[in-house]
Amino acid sequence: MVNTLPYLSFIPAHVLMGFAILFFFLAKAVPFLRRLPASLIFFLVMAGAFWLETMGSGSKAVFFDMIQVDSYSRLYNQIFFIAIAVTILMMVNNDEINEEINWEIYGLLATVCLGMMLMTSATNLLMTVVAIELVSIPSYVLVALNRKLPVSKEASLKYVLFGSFAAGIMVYGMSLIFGLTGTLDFAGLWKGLGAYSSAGTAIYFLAILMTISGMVFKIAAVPFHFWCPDAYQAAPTPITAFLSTAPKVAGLALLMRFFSYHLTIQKADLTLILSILAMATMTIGNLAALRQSDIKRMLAYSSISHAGFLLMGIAVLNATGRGVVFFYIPIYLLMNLGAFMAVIYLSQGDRFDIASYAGMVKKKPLLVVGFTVCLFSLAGLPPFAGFIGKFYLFKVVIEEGLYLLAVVAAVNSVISLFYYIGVIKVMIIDTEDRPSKDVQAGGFPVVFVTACAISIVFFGLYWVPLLNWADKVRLLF
Amino acid sequence: MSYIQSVIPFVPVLPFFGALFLGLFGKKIYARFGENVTGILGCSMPFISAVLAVTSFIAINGVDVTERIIRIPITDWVSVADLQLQWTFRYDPLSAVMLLVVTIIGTLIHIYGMGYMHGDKSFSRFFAYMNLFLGSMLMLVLGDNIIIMFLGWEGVGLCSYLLIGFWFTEEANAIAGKKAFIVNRIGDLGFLTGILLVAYFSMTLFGTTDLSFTELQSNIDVLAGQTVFGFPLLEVIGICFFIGAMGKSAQIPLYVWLPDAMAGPTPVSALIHAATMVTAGVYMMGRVFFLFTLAPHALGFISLIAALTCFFSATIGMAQYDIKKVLAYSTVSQLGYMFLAMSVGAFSAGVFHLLTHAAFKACLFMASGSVIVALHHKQDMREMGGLLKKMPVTGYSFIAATLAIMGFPLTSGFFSKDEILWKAFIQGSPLLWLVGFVAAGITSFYMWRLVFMTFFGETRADKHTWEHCHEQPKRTVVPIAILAVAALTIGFWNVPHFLGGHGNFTNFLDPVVHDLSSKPMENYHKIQLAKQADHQPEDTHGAAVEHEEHVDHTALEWGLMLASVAWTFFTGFLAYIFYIRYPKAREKIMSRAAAQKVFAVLYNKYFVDEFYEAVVITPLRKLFGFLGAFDQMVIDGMVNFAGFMGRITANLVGIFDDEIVDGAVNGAGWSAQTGGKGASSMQSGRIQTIVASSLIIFIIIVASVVLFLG
Repeated sequence: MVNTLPYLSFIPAHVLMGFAILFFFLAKAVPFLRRLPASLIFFLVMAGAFWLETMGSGSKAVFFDMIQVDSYSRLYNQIFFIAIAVTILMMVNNDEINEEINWEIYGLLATVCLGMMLMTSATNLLMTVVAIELVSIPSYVLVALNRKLPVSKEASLKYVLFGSFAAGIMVYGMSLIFGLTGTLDFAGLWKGLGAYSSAGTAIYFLAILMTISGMVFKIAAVPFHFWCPDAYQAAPTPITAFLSTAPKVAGLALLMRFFSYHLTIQKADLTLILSILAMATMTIGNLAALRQSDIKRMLAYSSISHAGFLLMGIAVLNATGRGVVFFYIPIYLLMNLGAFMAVIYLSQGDRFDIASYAGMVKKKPLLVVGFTVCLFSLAGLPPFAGFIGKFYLFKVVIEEGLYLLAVVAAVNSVISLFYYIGVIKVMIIDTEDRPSKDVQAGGFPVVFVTACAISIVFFGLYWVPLLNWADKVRLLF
Repeated sequence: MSYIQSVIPFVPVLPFFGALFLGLFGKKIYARFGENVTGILGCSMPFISAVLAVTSFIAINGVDVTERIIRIPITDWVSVADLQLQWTFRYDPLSAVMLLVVTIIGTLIHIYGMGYMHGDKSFSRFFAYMNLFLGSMLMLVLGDNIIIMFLGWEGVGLCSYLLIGFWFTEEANAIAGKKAFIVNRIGDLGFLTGILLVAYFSMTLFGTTDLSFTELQSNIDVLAGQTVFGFPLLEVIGICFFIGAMGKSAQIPLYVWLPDAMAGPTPVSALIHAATMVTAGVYMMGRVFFLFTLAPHALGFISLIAALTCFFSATIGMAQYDIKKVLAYSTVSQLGYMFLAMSVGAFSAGVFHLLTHAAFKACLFMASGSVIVALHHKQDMREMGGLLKKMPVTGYSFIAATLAIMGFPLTSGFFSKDEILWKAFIQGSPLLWLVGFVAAGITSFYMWRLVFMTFFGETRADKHTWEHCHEQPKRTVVPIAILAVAALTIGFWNVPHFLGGHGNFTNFLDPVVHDLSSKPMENYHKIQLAKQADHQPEDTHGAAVEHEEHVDHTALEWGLMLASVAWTFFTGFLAYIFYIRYPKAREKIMSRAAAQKVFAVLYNKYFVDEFYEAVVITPLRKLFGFLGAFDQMVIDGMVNFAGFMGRITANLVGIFDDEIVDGAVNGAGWSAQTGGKGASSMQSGRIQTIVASSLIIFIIIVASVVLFLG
């Protein structure tokens, strides 16, 4: 029996997160602990984990080569901690969630976080299953936080069923791969598939496609996107914001690591597969978004189409593409979190239909301006950061010669303008047909959204810091 | 990290900060604390910048001559493929001079603006714009690469537009702003074309480029061998850059916006439309002088335009009655002098005239603003007169600046203008000199006409205005007086050799700007010969080309100088006779039909605006009408068709959703209800449908992949 304990020193943040999970579920039961400020503690845990990850260096395979900790996983983990910290801020300032259940929520979030951290470093399909389920199962519960609402329960149940469906396909695919190659290790399985005599046959593609379906489910790409609008709509808005960012990033990181082990002869086929997924995802996401009248559903479809855009960076299957995806992610976080924060405070009560935002600019001018910046950036207009992110995505795709993908993405960018600007038009140009009671937004959301908007404009004009950060993303071989 | 390197980045940043601060909180500060606090806040950032600029100037004088080009990298900016742009500032003697002009005159005009804008309800907006302008102008001056310079270039254009239309509630002002903006756009198109040519050729020839002036200068020899559409590359770039300068620095044919720009507040006219922004074109030419050195044909073209501008705008100035319009045409004419100097290779003379002109023209504008305020916003000189008694400080300052602009011996204009005329004679042609010489006389005439009509003789103002007219408060007149003193004295910085001086200013600029020592064309041929002989590659920048024969020109220089002094005195005296001594003589001349016709042509500015209206604007309008129709028929048709197709697709997706997915749901619900099992199974029906749809799409993807690749 190999003693694995010494390995723990290579993954301090995972250890911290493990203790956090234990602590939050324990605290629910121990009355003394319950009186402590849960949000603050969780925030500190995130800060501590962030600090631990920035301190780490080097590359190391641990736990029987199940996971690999390197600069790649550490940088992505830092993004998760930031996203979760922001989610905490949003939850503190939101009245959709009952504060009494904070302890459970943070326990669940910590579990999701640990799962995501494993997703970024998994190098074995078995670990992949564990990590994905570790993220999925608490997510099902998080969607149902408003447990008194039947809609929430329904959405959560759908999510569970759909998740099981995707996981089933994934595990089936893995069994095919194991049958073909005799290994579940990333490096080994690509080598095995390369050596497999009938590479290029139906079974070969079926195995790969089925295996990645679990990851595709996590990033909500076609065809495993159907859960997304329902879950986003029913979940409390901070949770929606969280689900639309962090797990998606984790799925992308996992996909990139999985495909990074491919052999050169497999590249053309894999690029084509991923391009088809990317094109289908952005097109279906965008066309569906056009018809939405609910802002949260609209943003859900928008996040589906963004998954498609991000798949562009993965489809080129090289280090530049991975760097560009990482470059886009902080921008995507800023835009999406800013937009959802604005949605929380622009919406009155439980009404999330876009029409209810009419004439909002007069009531909450600063918030609307910030929201508008986020939406313009999501649409990819200059001089906002979203434009630069998209620009680099297009650049790598064109450099790789994937012109069809670039054209489809360009057409999709134009289509997406339509629904983003539709919301802006309603807020700024339309007038309210019947005045409703004024919900006063506190100082925090305005500051938050404005900060997001300012960062978006800043990074749109001066993106060198992000570029430098993205430059550090290196997968080691 | 030397002193200069640590403070220079703050010089442009501080005014930007001031603009941001005043833009965000100015209105509240104004409402809460009143005018004085807002004004002092507005002046503080330019003032600190001026202090930093002056101390840096002192510091650079202590640096060894060979190390006076100081590049201050701030950070990387754009690095896409071959383009590696950086945020870098460049502090060298040329930008040091410009910094002095911009920050010191800028600060004085800010202080003056506190008095001039007294009681205006947009007080804080004014200072926010002015700070923004200063920041952009300083960025233009300090930019180490063309792109940063272009950013500043566009920034000052924006501020100019905002400030011309500052009182936008009156339509004429808003139209003047638009005119300035559009005419500048035409010039900017030229400039941008030049920049893109530089970028394109740099990238294709040298791999990567950062578009900095240093890099351009070191690569200029390679670029000189290139052609574009069969024309020598540098000539084309030179013309393109000059078109940019034409727009910004109001040269024929793009000068028409500047006189209209006088619709803005007078401090704006003084700062932007006389002292700083309009000289950006001259500065830009000085920055890339090495390019123009190798583009003699472009210089020939520039000298033609410059001489024409110089002469014609001076003649228009003789026949204007609006005090600010006279000064505006005078500015256009003086800018012509600067370009004349640049075009004959006397780059330092051009920059020196920029400096002296900034001092005396800012002073003239500020004094005229003081008069305008005193007379309750009357600008027509026919309603002025005799103001010297009422406004002594303003009046004497104005006279001092007039002495400078006419070139009265030992004032600043005397040194700078005579240098230009001399260089035009010896390195251009006697014809160029003659045009400049005649224009100098006309300048003297219209300036003294302005002085006599405004400050001397009997007043023609109505009684009420005259009684209320008084000298302006200190914050207005002190800056005017300071500039008047400067206008009289700064000429001594560049006393030419034949008057016993050492040309200190020329020497100061020498590390960055080398004057040509002979006619541009001859110089160019010399360089080519030197290149063929293949010796001394550093000869290419003109200065090092040796004087083969040193002819003693002292007598000729004295002669030309005395001639122009006598000529300007004569025309000044003519103005005295016509406007003070014997007004009857003037009326007698003016009563003739021919004289009236000439006057009408001049008064209407050669009908250039009407000409543009008929030849450019009306046909363009027709073209736009046609394009608009084309747009509606064809482009919109295509867009609508695309939209229509999009709608159809979206509807198909919708139908899929509604009919198949929801239909299945409803069908399940219906069957469930008829089955008597209750409505709860509706949800389970839906999840089955979406899982089924997901599976169908998945199978389609697998099938297509297998078909494509299998």
